[in-house]
Amino acid sequence: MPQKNTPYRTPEGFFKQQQEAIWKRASSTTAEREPQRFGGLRRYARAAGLAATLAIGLFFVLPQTPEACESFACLWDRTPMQSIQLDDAEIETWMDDDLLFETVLNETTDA
Amino acid sequence: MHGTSPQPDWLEDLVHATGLKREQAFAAMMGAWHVPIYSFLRSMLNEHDDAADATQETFLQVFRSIDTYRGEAKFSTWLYTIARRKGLDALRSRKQLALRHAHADASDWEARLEADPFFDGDEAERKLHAALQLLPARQREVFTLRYFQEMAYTDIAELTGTSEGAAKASYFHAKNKVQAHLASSND
Repeated sequence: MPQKNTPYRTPEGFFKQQQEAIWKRASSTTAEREPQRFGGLRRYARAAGLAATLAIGLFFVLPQTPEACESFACLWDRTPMQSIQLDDAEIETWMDDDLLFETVLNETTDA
Repeated sequence: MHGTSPQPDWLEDLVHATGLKREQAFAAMMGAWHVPIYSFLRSMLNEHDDAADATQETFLQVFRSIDTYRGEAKFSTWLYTIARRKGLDALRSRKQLALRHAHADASDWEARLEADPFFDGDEAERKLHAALQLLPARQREVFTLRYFQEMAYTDIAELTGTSEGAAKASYFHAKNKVQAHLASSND
């Protein structure tokens, strides 16, 4: 695909090293998967049963999905973890409108 | 959208071959797409480290999912769709949100780009890239795909899940905002 030059630069040898790293990870994943093909259906059936039990249990134990946030502050406060729990609809909303971010910027400035 | 040009041999090998031939096909695919995908993600995420991580995750996902690629969409659209998804995942990170939080206007972004060891654009390029950061994310994404990656509107529409008309409108608005910003900063 044609593309214009960009002023972005990368460390020396970045693409070559990353390509090797990706292939290494990809091929090790493949190697791990291979034996499972011949592991029999029983293991899959057992895992599926366990997953279904867990899913049903979690459905009743965990709180239901919270309502969609309407401000960035709400998103920010929702989780103390390393990432914001934006669902796909929320992040697509943000893609169209940076108001979610402007709101919290204003709130921070006013505070 | 259906691809009209024949699929490259490496794509066929990537889907069906094993062992060394598959490794060679993977290398050929990476050779063709590594830089464009990194550039796309770098435009989206600004940070080299974040773009590098998202690029790595993109190609790993391609490798893991290549068996599901049926050739109904262009390979490039399929690839960019995965990259976009990884980019959006990265945008959810606190680091990315904090970055946007801390850079409210163009001068903040220009200063950041000037200090970035992995950005060696001149003043005009700094202004352009700083102006891009002030756009809503969708407009920035469409502008990047159209202007830097020179992607067709039909492909942008498919990739971003919008219509061709909406993609054109996003690009039009983005271009006007960027031009206005550059004109005002030159006054």
